[in-house]
Amino acid sequence: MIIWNELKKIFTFKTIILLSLVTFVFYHLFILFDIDYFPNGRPATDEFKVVKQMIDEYGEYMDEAEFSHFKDIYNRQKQEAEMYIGAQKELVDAGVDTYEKFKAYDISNQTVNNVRDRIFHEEGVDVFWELQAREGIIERYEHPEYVGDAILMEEQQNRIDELRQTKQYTSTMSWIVFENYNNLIGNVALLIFLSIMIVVTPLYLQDRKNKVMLLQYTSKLGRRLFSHKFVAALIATTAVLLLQMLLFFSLYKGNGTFMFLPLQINSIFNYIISWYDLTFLHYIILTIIGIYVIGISILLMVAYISSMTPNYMTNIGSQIPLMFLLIIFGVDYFVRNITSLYLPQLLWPILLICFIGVAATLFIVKVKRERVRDVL
Amino acid sequence: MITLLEVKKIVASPIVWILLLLFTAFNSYQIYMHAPMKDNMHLVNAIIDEHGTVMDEQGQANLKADYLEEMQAWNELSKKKQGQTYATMQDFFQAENYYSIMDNNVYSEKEMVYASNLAVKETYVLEAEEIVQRYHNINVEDLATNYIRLFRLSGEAAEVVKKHYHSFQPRFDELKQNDEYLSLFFNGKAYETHSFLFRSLFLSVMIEAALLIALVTSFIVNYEFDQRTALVTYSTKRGRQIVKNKLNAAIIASMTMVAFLLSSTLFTYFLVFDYSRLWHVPISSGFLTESNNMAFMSWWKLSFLQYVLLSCGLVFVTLFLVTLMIFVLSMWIRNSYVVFFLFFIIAGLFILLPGEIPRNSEWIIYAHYTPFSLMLGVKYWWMESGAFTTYKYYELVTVSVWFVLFATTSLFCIKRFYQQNLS
Repeated sequence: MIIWNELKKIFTFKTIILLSLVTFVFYHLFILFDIDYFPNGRPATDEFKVVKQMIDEYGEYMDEAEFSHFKDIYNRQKQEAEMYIGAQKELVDAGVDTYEKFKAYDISNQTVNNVRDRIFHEEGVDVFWELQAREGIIERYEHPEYVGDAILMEEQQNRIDELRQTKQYTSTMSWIVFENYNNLIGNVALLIFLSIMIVVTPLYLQDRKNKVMLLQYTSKLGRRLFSHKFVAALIATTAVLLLQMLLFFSLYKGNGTFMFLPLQINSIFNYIISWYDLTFLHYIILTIIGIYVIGISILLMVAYISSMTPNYMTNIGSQIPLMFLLIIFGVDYFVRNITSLYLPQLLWPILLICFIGVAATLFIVKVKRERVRDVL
Repeated sequence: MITLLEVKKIVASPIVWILLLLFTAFNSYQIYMHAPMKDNMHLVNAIIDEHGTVMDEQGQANLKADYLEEMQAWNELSKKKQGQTYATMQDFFQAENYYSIMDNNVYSEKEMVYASNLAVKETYVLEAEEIVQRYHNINVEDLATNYIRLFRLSGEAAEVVKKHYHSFQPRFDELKQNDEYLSLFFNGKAYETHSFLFRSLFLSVMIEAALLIALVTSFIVNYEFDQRTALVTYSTKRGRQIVKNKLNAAIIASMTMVAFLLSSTLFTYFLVFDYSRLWHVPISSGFLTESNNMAFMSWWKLSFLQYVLLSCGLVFVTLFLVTLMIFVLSMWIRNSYVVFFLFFIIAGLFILLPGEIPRNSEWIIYAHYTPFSLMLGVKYWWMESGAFTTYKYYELVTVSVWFVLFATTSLFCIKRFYQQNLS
């Protein structure tokens, strides 16, 4: 019952309005772009189309037979492109009659360049863009060694060698989808952290400022109220987190990446190399776990700050360095590119445990002290 | 006296000091990350000492003669040691060539330093030639047309952009005429100093200052309500006039914090990077052009020093506007927690505003005349600055309009407060 009343105090009309406004502005400034403009530009759009076709036809992996089928389509489209080239009088006059010649960029040949510009940008002929996208895919399939060749440590090298021999390396995952998700989830994480701060900031300060504490602490429930309030804040935090996630994923659904969920992220068509064999869905779940753990740590820290500070200036002021750290370093290590081979294998779990450990210790010490504190 | 006591409330808050120090540390960290490039940057000083700052035909010829002489000396050496000569130092530093030389230890360390210094000199020689070419190709009207196409503007909006760019034409001719654009400066393509100083650092300072101002102003203004002393304080004879002192105290505190952040950051910056020869070089130098090939062209002939000072002044003025705005918000809402977040929501809304206006209305241009767009565009202050803000008095008009607006609202809030029901 107390918790319910505390919850009502947390979610006042004012806070809800504030939260929705912050969410609105934040979405428009930092998130909606990656949803409205996905995939961003060409040939990303064409490549996305091609990859979706690949998944439809070949399933989760692309083996040699399927690759040669893929190349057949490429060659067929090349012929189509050559038909188109053959129909352009300027090109034929300039001696450009094959696709290879058309592709070779020669800065001095102004007429050909003009026609090329027209075909790509003004008319936007699909075949040419799609050929470009397919070329990228073929190139990466034929040269698996391009991925991760800058790696030095032995363990990392072993992991790469291991991956190159397995089937999962031919997974039909796409870097376009992965990069897009990584951009989005980082910003969504920041919005969630900000929302938690907004919700929890007044938790203890409000009552102390209004001198209600003197009454509360002499009641039957007494100083246990401190913990009850925390439980209410925990519920509120979880609710905010869930709501934000719901909002985000319902918007993210519009990107149409559902079919990528069961695919392995360790793929020649993706740029991340993970320490573990993860599917895209696993990866998404990991990011959500990361966000939740950091969210709870922030709740603990902000609750601690709220119980220690004399006024809102000090309260919010103390949270600014925390937010700064999260913006500049935190998100990249906690939420984005997690389990990447380029970072130590145990960095992510250790960072998370340290972060929540520090926050929890601070808060528990405070809870203990609160029991014997002189309130006057 | 009362004002001072109000200021004391802030001075006595450790959090303000902690944040000021943390922000200064962060800005210094950014400078520290860029510091390694200073060794190469400073080579321009030697060139200036020898050839002056103006790279007109005479200057270019001198520099080139100097460069060719050194190049010849280098080629004699390389012929002896390697059995080959180089047309440019760029060829020498090509990856294939360079790594084999490093592996075989062909040259002594001193000779390699000579080589890299010569390579830097070469970039200035080449850049000077390129600048002449590039500025020759710039057409002010084409700039306008490109922007109109880029942002898909039409109708009135396009007309206004064209008009503003048209009025830039005389100034463009002038800066080409008097060789301002050929002034020697740190090579923008290699170091991007302008972006670093006027975007990364100035913007950091402004955001940090805005955070502090939001905290401090809302704290002072609502102090009596937070401490439950309002009913006593505001019923005395001096009473409600204290709010004026509070405003003054907030302004004093805010401006001091801005001064502190700005001076500590700039001091560190100019301590690390040696601008001693460049203070009086025009800011419209073509050498500053960065990898996006957008020329920096100021509306007046400003030296670097004048430009820095003017920009610092504008930082103070915009943050003064921020102070007034937060004062108005605090008088209206009376809860510093809400005021803090609301301020940033409003800032965000103003930044979003231009995107929501139809692209054929001239209001899409005037929607950029807000303190927040002004702050974001700090890199292009007093300059030709893209479709929306290229107007000779853009900064001045924006600042004056919003000053009048905020000042009258502040006065109105104070007046209203004298008769307000407080209980």
